[in-house]
Amino acid sequence: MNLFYLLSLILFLCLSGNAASADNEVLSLLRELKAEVGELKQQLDRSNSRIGELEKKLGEYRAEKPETEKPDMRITQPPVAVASSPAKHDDKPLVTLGDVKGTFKIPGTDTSVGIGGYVKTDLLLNSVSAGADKLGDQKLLVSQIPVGGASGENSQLTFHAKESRLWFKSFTPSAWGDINTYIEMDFFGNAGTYNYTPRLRHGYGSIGHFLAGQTWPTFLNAAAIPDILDNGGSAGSLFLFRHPLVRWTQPFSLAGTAMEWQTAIEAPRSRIWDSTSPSANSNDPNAYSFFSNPDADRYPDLVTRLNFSPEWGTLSIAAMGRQIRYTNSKLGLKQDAWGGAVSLAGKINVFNLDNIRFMAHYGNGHGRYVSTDNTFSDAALDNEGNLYLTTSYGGMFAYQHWWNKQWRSTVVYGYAQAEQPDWVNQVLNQEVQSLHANILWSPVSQAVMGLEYIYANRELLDGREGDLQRLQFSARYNF
Amino acid sequence: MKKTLSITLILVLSACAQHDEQSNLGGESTTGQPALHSIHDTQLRLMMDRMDTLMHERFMTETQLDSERRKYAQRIADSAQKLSQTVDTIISKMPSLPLTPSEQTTFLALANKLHDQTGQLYDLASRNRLEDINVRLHQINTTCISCHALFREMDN
Repeated sequence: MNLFYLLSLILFLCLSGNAASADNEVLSLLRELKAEVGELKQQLDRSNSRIGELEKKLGEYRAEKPETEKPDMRITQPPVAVASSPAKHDDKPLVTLGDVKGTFKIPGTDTSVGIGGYVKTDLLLNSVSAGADKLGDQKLLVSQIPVGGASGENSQLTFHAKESRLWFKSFTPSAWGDINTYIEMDFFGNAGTYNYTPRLRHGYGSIGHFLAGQTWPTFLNAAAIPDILDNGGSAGSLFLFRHPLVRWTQPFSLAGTAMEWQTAIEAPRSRIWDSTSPSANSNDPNAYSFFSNPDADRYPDLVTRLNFSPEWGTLSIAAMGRQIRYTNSKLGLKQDAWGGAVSLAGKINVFNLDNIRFMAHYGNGHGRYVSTDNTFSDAALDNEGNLYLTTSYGGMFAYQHWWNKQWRSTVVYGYAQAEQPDWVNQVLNQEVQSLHANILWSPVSQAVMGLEYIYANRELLDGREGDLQRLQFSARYNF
Repeated sequence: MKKTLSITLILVLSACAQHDEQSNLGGESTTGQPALHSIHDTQLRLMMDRMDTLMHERFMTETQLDSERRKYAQRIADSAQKLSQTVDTIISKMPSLPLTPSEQTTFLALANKLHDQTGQLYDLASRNRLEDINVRLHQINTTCISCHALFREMDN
């Protein structure tokens, strides 16, 4: 009996011990689950708090930079008032935003107009001066680099603000396509260093794909012009000039790539080295009056160009045909010859914002389009009145590196050469080259300051050379 | 010299390997769209930056610049559309992700928000509303950072 009670007691104690242990496990599990739920709740709270914080920051950002609502491009919507006079026009908007960024509409019309420009000041320290009141001291003109030490002072300093620009543009939608007009002026109208004569740079209009007016030649791809402070451009580039033209641009797409085909007739202006002219035979290489424009042209310059605009940049191939014509009523001469030229130019995006720009060109009778002003002739006229086209070619290569969004640098090298008959004046240019290297700083997008080093050289047919070294500081403020 | 070159090469390769490991951390590897939406986001910002650099092109006329800006706007619209499609794919992959119901709710809210914002960006770029694109890009960036901050941290 005693044994039975003893065994029962042992069994009871064992069973009660197991039950207590199970309860403990359940309790422990519940505690763990509670802790985990608490942790998840905290995590969710943190997540919600973070979203709230970010949304608050976004709200603050929006409050700092309120969005400007404006009518959709080419879609008729009620105009939105951005300014109104409380006195008379409470219910009528005085000024409405235009269809293109930075424009406003002329009241009562669908024409958007915009004005802008910049003020640019250039400080140029020249190793040698081109002479008094010469443009060659204000921008790079390789044909004005002194040869033989006959010209101006060494270490000459020039200050000017002639590159300051004003532009006006308009945009009007129409049934025939968009009507655009554009006028741009600067102050390079007179070579005098302190003479600020306004000059028309661009003045053109277009409806749909048809453009007429004065602008860059179709042969020149303006997107390939490097970002340099100098206004003259690289010696190997095509000449950065503008002239009157009429052009059709046909956009199309090939294998998903945006393309354009342009064809144009442009102002002809034959530039000839005339052996019968006394000034053409001057022995002074710094005379700068070797060429003449007979003003006897009968055909326009004919140009065609194909533009590729893939995501990695832009590329163009152009071809030109032009007649060079010379007449001299005194001598009874009438001469003409057809020449042609081709060019390849582009801008290729590489790493981040870095890019490569280049131009290459070859042809005969296109000397007026090559390098900086008055470097080569289109043709030479011998004593018997025969016209010989000048073959010229050149190229330019530029690399632009962005150190960050405020600082950038460009290095450009350019070279051009002309092949001329043996009997021309031996002080004419045979080859030219230049190097530009700069560092530019844009603390804000509307302002640029920078320093540029320029080296340029020209070699004459007689083998003599002229060198120029220049340090240029520029400050530009857009509006 | 050869020894120095070898050591340099090893260091460079190991640095690259470490970078790869780091870039694979986080939730994006489990979405089935490894960094694709980040690539689109980077492309969008690069295109916007390139468009901004046109401001400094003083040899092109304003009408030429307007034309160039329109081309960039079109490319931004195309990229926004691709980004939107990638977000759709990420949303469709969500059930297979190791997320709790509350995490799924947050994830879905952020993904939908990103989807809406890319749609709005597409709309703005298609209509050449250049001045509003930057604000929208900032919003997209904020949403991306929010999602990465929440879910990449959890994954770590």
